[in-house]
Amino acid sequence: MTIRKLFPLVFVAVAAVACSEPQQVAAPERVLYERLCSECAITTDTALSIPRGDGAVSDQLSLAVGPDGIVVGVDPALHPGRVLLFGPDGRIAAHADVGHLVTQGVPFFDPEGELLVPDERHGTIQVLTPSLKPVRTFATVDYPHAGIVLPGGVFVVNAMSRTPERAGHALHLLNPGDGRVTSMDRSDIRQAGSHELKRFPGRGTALRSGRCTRPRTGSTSGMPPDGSSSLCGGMRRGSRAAGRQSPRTPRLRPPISSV
Amino acid sequence: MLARVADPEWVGYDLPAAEGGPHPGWNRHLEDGVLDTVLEVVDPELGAVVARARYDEYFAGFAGPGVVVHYDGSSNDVGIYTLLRVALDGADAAGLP
Repeated sequence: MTIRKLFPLVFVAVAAVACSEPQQVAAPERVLYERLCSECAITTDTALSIPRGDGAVSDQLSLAVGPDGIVVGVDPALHPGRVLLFGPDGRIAAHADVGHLVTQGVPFFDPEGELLVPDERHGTIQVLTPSLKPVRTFATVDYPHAGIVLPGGVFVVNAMSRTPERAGHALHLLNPGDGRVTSMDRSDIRQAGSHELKRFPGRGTALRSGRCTRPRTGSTSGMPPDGSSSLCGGMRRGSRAAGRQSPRTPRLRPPISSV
Repeated sequence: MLARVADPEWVGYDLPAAEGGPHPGWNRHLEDGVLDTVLEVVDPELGAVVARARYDEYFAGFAGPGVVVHYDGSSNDVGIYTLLRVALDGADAAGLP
């Protein structure tokens, strides 16, 4: 069959597609990011200032505030192998030796006030008491960078895992209750730290559209047996990190827009 | 939720070249002039933004529930970290759960 003979058939097919009724798309149940409260406003208030003067800390410092207001930090540049405790004046008041953590990630607290410090190289998380005494270590996925504990005890860790079944997945949900690990393909946030996902005190979970509970693609496998069951405790609703106010701390300018 | 966005009044810097490559190096004391921060309170159950604010400063991230970190560095060697409590005002008056 020649091209000239085929042309009418192609023309008819294209015309049929062009004239067909467009498919009806169901309207979404709700529109994400719809503005809910026109009277609401976000305010900020300085809780603590930490100066870098006299080489106390570097510009690589990662900070965490515990439920009772204590402030700790990890500074791999100037204080490798240490967890720093800051006093009300913003200066280092104490430190703990965690030299066995080869590559320290971003520290964070669980709802019970225990401090968790990821070790990216070993794929583990070191648990310390609020007084910085090591309690235990448990395994997670490899290369954990940061994490949070969701209501109900589900533990979310941001890790650049290199194992074949998890490569390319950024967020991993560890359920200490049944030992499952769910890895999510979130290429859009692979370079971001999950420490940017935090509960807002007493106002539900400030997680972007709640996607963490609905993985687009997921894989599950058993989680190594460890002492992570203590993470099952529920998040205390209404808990607020009450940082300390330093009398010398500067105030930031108010928001440039509040919409 | 915390998001970093480009500062509309982006300040141009003469960045030093990174070691071993043509790309300019990044210094933390430049962050405020280059980036803004958008803070949002999101109710995932309602699928709605409760409140939103944009700041001229760059917030490095959260240090805990309701606490964000800002780093203000005037140079590579001098700077100050500030922990800021974030609060939501007006929700009770608006009758939100």
